[in-house]
This record gives sequence, C-alpha cells and structure tokens, in this order.
Amino acid sequence: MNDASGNPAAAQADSRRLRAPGWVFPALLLAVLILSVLRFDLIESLLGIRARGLLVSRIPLWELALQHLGLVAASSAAAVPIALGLGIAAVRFSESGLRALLVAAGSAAQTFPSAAVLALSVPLAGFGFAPTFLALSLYGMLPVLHNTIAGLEGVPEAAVDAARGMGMRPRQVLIRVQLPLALPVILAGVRTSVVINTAAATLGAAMGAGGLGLPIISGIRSFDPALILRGAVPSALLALFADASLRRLEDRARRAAGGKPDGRGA
Amino acid sequence: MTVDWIALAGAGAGLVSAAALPFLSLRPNRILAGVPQYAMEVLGAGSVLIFTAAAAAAVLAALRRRHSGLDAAGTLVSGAGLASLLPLAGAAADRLAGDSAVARVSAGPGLWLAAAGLGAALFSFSRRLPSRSALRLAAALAIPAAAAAAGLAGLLDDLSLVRELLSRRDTFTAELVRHLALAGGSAALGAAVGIPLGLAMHRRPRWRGLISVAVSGAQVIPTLSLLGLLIVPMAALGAAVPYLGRIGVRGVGWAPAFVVLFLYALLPIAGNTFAALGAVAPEALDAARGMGMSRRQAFLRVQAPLALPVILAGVRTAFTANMGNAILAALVGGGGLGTLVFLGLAQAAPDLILLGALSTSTLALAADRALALAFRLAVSRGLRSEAP
Repeated sequence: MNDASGNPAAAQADSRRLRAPGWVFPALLLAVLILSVLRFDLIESLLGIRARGLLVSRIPLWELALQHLGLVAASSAAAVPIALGLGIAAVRFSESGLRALLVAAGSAAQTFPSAAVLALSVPLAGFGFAPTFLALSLYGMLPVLHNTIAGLEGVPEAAVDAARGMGMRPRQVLIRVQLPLALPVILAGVRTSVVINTAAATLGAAMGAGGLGLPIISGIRSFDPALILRGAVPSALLALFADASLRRLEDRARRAAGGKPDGRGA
Repeated sequence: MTVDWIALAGAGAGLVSAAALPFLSLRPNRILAGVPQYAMEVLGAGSVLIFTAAAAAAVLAALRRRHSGLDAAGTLVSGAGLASLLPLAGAAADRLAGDSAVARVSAGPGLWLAAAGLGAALFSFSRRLPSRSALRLAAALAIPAAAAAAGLAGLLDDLSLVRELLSRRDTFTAELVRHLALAGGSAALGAAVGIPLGLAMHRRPRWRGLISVAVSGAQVIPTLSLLGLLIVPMAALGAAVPYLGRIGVRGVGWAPAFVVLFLYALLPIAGNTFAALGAVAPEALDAARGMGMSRRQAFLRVQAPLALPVILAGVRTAFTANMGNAILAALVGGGGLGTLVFLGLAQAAPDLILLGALSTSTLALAADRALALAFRLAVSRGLRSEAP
C-alpha cells in the first residue's frame, strides 16, 4: 500500500528514524520488563500502593511471568511450523482447492473470538495448561498461515522463472528463492501470532493455566487495583517487547531479501 | 480434469466420523457425564440419508476425472447432506430426551466432524460452479434456511444449545443488545476519531511518529491488561466528574470496556486512512490541480473518493474485530455476550459457552458482510471492480 509513490515512502523513512533506534528500544523494554517482574515493589512504592492478599505471598511474580512465557513459547513453537507447512502446501497444491479452502476456513475462524476458543477447549482438555496450550496453538496458526500464503504468492514471478531457468528443482526453488523472499511477510505473521498469543495467554488464568493474567483477574474480582497492576504492567511490557523485537527481526529479513527497510502497513 | 481431492477427503472423513464417532451425547442432567450416542442407533433411517449423501459425494469427487458436470451433482448431494444434519440431530434429541426436562443432548464429535467434512466437500464442489449460478446461491442459502426452519418448527428445542438459549431468552436478548451497543458504538466513535487522525497523520508529518506509536502500542497491549490498567483512571474519572459518574463511568462496568474497544478500533481506521491517502497517485492530484481545482476541491473530489475504499475497509475491519473483542467486556462486568461464555465456564456448561461464542462470531460475520455490501454502494462506481 505504501510503495505507491515517492512522497509516502520518504515519509515512511522519516517516521522510521523517529521510532526505530535499532535494538535499543526492545532492549530497553526487556530491561524494564525484568525489573518490573523482579522488583515490582519499586513500582508500588512509586505509586504509593501495595497489593495484598494470598496470591502475592503464595506465588512470586517471576514464577507467573515464567508460566506466561512458557505458554506463549510452547504454543508458538507448535503453531508456527504447522501453519508454515500448511501454507506452503496450500500454495504448492493450489490447483486442488486446498488454498481456497484454507483461506476461507482461516478467515471464518478469525471471527471466532479467542476468548471463546479458550473457553471451549476446557471441556475438551480439562483445566490448566493443556486447554490453554491447545487453544493458543490453534488460534496462533491463523496469522502465520495467512501470511505464509500471502508472502509466497507475493514473490515476483520473474524470480521464480529465473530460478527454474537456472535448473533448480521445485524444492530448491522453494527453499532457496521463494521462502527467503517471502520471509519478511511470514515473520510479520509470526509476530502477529506471538502478540495475539501473549494477550490470549492472560486469559489462560481463567482456565487455570496461571500466568500474568492471574493477578489481573483476581484483582478485578476483589477490586484491588494494586493487584491488577502486578499482572497488567508486566504483561503489557511483555507484549510490547515481543512486538518490538520481532519487528527488528523482520527488518533484518527484509534487508536480506533486498527490499526496502520498511514495508509494513498492509 | 482431476480427482477433487478436497471433496473426496472431506466427504470420506464426514462419512467415517458420522458412522464411527459418537453423533450425540446424552446427559441425564446438566452436570452428569455424557453417554455417547451413535448415528446408526439414534437417527434410524436418517443415518442412511447422511451416509448415502457422504458416500455419493465421495464417489462424485473421485469420478470428476471423467465428467466435469459432476460438480453440480456433488454440490447438490453434499449440500443436502449438510442441510439435513441439524434437523436430524434435533429430531433424535427429541426422542432421546423423552419427557425429561433436565436431560441434555449435545452434539458429539461425529456430528461436528461430519458437518466439517461435508462443508469442505460442498465448498470444493460449488467453488467451480459459475459464480452467478442458481445452484451455488441455493446451496449457500439452503443450509441456514434448513437450520432456521427446523428451529422455528421447534425441532431443535431438545438440543442442549437451544435449551440454554430458551431458558434465558430475556437475558440473551438484553446481552445481545448490549454487545451490539458496546462493539458498534465504540467502533463508530473509533471511526469518528480515527479518520481525522489518519488525515492529520497524512497532513502533518511531525505528528506521524507519535500518533502511530501511541495507536499501535494500544493495539499490542493485551486486552485484559489494558482493561486492568484502565480501572484506576476510569474510577477516578467517574468520581471527579459527577455527570460521568451518574451515567456509569466507573472502574468496572461498560466504561472501561468501551474505552478499550475504542482504542482497538482506532489503529485499523487511522492506519488505513493514512495509507489510503498516501497511496493516491500524485499524477491524479496533479491532473486535478491542472484542471483548475483548488486544493480543497482536489481533496474532496479526487483524493478522498480514491482513498475511500481502503478507508472503509479499515472501518469494516474495526467493526468486525470489535464484535469479537467485546466478549471480554464481561470480565469487568460490562455485559454483552461474553457474560454467557464466562458463566458457562464457571458452571462447566460447554453448551452455554458455545451459545455465547457462536452468537458472537455470527455477529462478527454478519457485521463483516453487511458493511462490505453497504460500503460497496458508497464507493464510486468506477472503483468497484474488486469483490467485497
């Protein structure tokens, strides 16, 4: 959308200088995140509040943060390879209608709220880690699938033709030409997936999976703003960190693919 | 012509799961564990209908190599099988529940997978029909029509999902209205603020970085965390401004949910407006100016109409996403269909969760389709080439 003319592209570069100082921003977020998890009492004394209740004394905040991180990491590790494989298969065998089916099913599934996917996995998998993992893995597949298809189809026909002309077999064309060129778009899908899952994992607390949502939900129930902040601040920082660091990765892939440093917007 | 592998796999999987997996599940009451019920036992002659439809669809998919005309027959057969699933399940539920008012009959994996398989087959067959063919339209309408007719005839009343709805009809309607008001109102406000914001980003490069960081940051932060972070300021706002306090601005309730949904709607709307205005070809603007239009005229008569499709696409995305996200309002006592989902979770009643979830996603899909149609009419005719 923003590769249309010289003027917006220059403006994009301008806004980039303003918002993307390399790895400094993600690193700063990570530092604040770790600090907030280990020494939340500093934030509390800054605001002049203190969370009470059983939850604070029973489970340390870093343990909840690790639970949260574990949920997101495990579900993304399951979702990304499966969705990538499905996306590659969809483009490769698009004649069979697999692509059309996956795109239609994926966009219909996207309208299903993530909270409902989580809630419905409870009768399937019981309470705790399992249903949350199941729901996050399924839901996290959608953006990766969508972007894998879009990315592979966005590879210029000329590049594929040239690779074929050099005598590459279909598998080589895929691995050495199509995937590297599609990587920035695929990584954008991975970023969306991880950010969505970081958010959905806060809801895992309602399914007994723990995580940083636990203090938020307990705090809302007992109307304890300090307890809510104990979960809300680190989870917000975690999501912002995941977004910022994966964006840097995306920029690197975009440079490696020979594109402009910033082509987001779509 | 090749074999339609998608339809073959879908119909085959539908046949196997309808025959071999529990089609329904009967619970003596809402809490006891379910007893699996198989299609052959509970559907009687109806099971023959489903098995035949699925088997015929599979055969037609395999025979496509010889006759391309088989697509129409496949559409018909798989559509008929799919449309008959729900009425048959309802009738079987009526027999299973008998006179018991507390017995619960819910859909089993067999029914779900048969529906998914036949749906995939129908999708694959009908996809190759001409886009304006009557059969394709009929297939798209027959399934919801069959479900609606069965529902109105009372045939589905003994399915647990419908019982959950009937036993709380008044609450359901109230929550539905509240859901629509929350999601629609916040998205409308998002459009009212987001479009000028996108315009400002386009006109004033100096604000651009700040606005885009703020707006996309709000999108990244988890909904639940944002709701939590808003509780204290909203409570303070309600206490400080008596009028706001009177209309219900408090730390919990509709107000924080509304603000969060509004913030979520802002990004797609402002972002798309900005991108759309920037993507208008400079040549078109030059031509307009060259024809003697003033800046204002060039904007109103050339740039804005050209950018409109993309701007409206952002509005549509925001409305659709808000319909789903509004489910979280229930967590802070904001009401809406999420109330049913979280109540179902607390009561371990999957059908209640499903009722809330299905009605929410139906709303989201309906909003998406309705806005696609409405916005298509708003766009200048020369720009309407893309399908909605």
